[in-house]
Amino acid sequence: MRLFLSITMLIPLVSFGQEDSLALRNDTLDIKQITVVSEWRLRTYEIIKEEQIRELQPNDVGELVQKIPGFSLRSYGGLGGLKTATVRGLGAGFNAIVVDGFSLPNVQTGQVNLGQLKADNIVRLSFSGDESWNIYAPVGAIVQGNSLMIKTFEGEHSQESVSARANVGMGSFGRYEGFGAIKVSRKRWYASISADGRLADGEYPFKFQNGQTLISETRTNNQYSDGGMRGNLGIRTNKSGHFRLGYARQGIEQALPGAMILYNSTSDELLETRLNRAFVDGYMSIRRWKTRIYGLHQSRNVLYTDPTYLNQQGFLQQQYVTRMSELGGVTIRTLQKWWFSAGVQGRTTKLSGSEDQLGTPIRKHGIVLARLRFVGRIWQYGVKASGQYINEWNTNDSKRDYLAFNPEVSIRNKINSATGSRHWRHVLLYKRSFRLPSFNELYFGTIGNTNLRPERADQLRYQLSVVPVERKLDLDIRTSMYANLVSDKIVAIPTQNLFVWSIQNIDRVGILGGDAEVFFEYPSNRHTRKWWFKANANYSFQYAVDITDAEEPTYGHQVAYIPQHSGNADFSLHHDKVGLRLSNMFVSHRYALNENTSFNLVKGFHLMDATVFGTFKLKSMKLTLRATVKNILNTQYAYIRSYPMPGRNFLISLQYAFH
Amino acid sequence: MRFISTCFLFSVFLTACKKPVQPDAPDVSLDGGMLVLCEGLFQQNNSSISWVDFDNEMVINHFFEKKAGRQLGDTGNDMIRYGSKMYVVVNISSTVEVLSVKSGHSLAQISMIEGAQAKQPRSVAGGKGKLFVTCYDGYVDVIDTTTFEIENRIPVGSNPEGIVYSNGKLFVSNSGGLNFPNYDSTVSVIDLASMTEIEKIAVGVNPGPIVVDHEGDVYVISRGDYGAIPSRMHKIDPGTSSVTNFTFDASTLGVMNDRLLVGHTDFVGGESSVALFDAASESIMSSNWLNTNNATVYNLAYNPSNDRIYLSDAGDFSAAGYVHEYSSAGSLIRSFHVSINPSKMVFFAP
Repeated sequence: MRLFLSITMLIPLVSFGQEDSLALRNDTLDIKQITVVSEWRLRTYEIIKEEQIRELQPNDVGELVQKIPGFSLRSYGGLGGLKTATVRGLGAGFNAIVVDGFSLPNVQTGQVNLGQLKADNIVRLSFSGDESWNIYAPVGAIVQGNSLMIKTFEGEHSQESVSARANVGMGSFGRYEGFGAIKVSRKRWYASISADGRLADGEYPFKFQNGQTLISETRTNNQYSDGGMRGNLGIRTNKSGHFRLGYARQGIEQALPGAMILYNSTSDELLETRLNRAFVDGYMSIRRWKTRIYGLHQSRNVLYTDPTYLNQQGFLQQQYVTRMSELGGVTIRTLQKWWFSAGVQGRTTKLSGSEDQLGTPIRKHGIVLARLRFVGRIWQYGVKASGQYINEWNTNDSKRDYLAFNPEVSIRNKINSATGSRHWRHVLLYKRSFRLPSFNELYFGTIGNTNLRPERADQLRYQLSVVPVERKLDLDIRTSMYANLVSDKIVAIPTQNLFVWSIQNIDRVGILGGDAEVFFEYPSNRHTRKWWFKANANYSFQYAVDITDAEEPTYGHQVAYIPQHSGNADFSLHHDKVGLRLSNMFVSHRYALNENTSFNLVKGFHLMDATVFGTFKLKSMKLTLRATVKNILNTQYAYIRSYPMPGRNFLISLQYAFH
Repeated sequence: MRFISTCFLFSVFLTACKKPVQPDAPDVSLDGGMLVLCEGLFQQNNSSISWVDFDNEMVINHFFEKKAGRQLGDTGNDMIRYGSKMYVVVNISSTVEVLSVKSGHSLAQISMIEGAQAKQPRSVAGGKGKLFVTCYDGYVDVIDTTTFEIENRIPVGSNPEGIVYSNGKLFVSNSGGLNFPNYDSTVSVIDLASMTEIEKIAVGVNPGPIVVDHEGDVYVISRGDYGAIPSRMHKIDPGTSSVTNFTFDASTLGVMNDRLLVGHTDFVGGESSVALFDAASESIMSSNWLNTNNATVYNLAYNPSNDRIYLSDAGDFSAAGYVHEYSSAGSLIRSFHVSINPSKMVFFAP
């Protein structure tokens, strides 16, 4: 049975105080207090900004993250279909998703469906595998292996008293969508409200090779609809403090097409998801202390229906309700050379519903965090340590305790704009992290295994970035090399027979990889020109192999569904208010199973999307029309075997922006 | 645009250069060897059949695809030889494939989908010119072996698995596997004259593999709940329907003349064994008749034409498996590398 995750958009109204360190225009927390460095503005797809997002017209965040070097998407196809990402060989369970400062966990399945995270209102998406000094990163995200930070239009405090966004679109496969948001800002308070909806029949044609015959079929039982609304309120208590609270609600109804099965096109499963989130936080800056306290409550209600299940009732309907409450706080103190940060977070999660399948597990998860950074003349040294205690029990008498300590050390050079013709940034980082087994992995029917241990990951990475200061040639270059080790990897394997699977800790995976990225823009100062051209290309290499047991046939083989080679090449040409963007992505062949045989091979593919756009201004209003042809070459491809993806399709949207 | 695309495709070809080479389609006759049904993995559409030539020690994997020009489908579950044809039950694809016994060529594909409902066929038995196919929707379908039409549907217990023919009756193990944790625990008896279920015999929890010995006695394994309730063998007298329960571990069965090969794999400890059971005295003659070397014992079969035992080894269930060949005295002779999850075997005399 498949259970999907759903999402929410959160709407805090204040702007973020700081950004991920690579993205900073200045490299400090408080430029008045720390004598360093400006002009460091590396452009990288680890940070995707609003302009790029709009030009790409992605269906969801899943499509966006595959632009980031080192990300490998696993998509099961279609609008709203399950999309997860592995990062540098680490599974999706190592990724924390943070929207406007609040995490989006899913303890039941352990992974967030990026296919249900819409991109309409996102103004910035950044990936941080490094230590982050962002005060708006929750403690739980800081200690994760990787974190994806999303900032929305509603999440930014506008300088304008009123600002608004609206978007309508239509596309192939019966797709219609709309989004609207309005923000009102005053001196002491601000508020916003937004709503969105999507609808698609989702039936798309595809072709596949069955032996010597090319078969054409249509993906059926793929209808999708969702709708959501969000509202929030912010109050500025004084110049250095604010308080915000908000509420978000989302509903999703989708049919599940399942795997494409030869000679059997029947599928009729359904999934409904209801997500409610309420959140509150307060921020205060006193002298050199910045402190944030946050709280989040989330309930996720999932209803799965198989109307033709072959049990005695003749159908299967299972409902799961996950309630999660989180409370945490982070404080950061900055001195001339020393930065210190500490954090604490507690989270309680309870799953109830189908007692016979999962019981009623309750997990209490506490985290303490301490960080220290020393800023020397040339180098910055960082140390981070976190301790986590998990206490868990279930109505089936299962009890578990787990205590973990995770260290992280890093060293990076400072950037000094006063010297040199270019900026070099070296970063060397080691970190250990883990991901907990999900409730499904622990307790689900005969599959679950209550003896599971957390899956651990050790990451060692060196990163080099170069940004020429003299901007005759506007070129940014970034490379990184890494070695990761995953231990006690949690995998589902058949035991007894093909229909009796179980979750086990069995695998060790060694990952060696690297990626390189180039950004180019001409002319360098585009704001004075009518014409300008931008290009970005990146390449990722991931050698992720099974090193569990030298006696096993899969020893030394590339792990399933991680491509050794992948990359992107995007080009955009702008003339005044119109433009064209070509987006290319390639993924080399992968294997559907860990044994690297020809019969397990999943073919590589190349996708090209093209978008034309034009913007028209009328006083303070801005209208933008975009038309995108996705998969313009009509490539027949799949990320996952038996889950064919759509061929050529279209999307047209009209966006309205006021301030 | 075309140029860019070409450049990208070229780069992909450069970097993804380990392209598989498909062997040529075989032109072999089915003599002196065996066909091995390899189940593949759920939702991978990679079920296959391997041909093993005993004399030439040659294995041709994906035999069906090479013969038929198309794939077998998703999760092959059973394969028998009956009359001049072979029948392969493909569970998730919901088909029964009909092959020629002489050449292995595909003769027909019988769809086991009714309306929008895939019946999920599991096992097949032949008798009185008919095929009897257990379907997970709680029926045994009766198929004419000349027209390949489904003539009748006989209701049995929930989620029927195995089926054998003995003494003018069919014995069907009802697993109830989709009613977890409320498994079924019965064997349905179908009278072939009336084509109706005449009796349900209680055995153990979750009945699955079922075989019939030379005397017509029926042996079935109840697989328990994969936890506290262990997997056990039971004997059914086809005349009286009386049941004899045995207390040793058992997960798969093979018939060797008047003896049974009883396989078991301990998935927790990783140990496996194949015992020799004497049907006459109803006792274990040897608890380790074959040296399994801790193979994953997935199925057992005896080939009377060469007096050898074959053990299909599923390994870790996700990599290509093996079939190990033993003498009837239990000595390992050789192994054949086949495809993923080898299970049922059908033998062809020289």
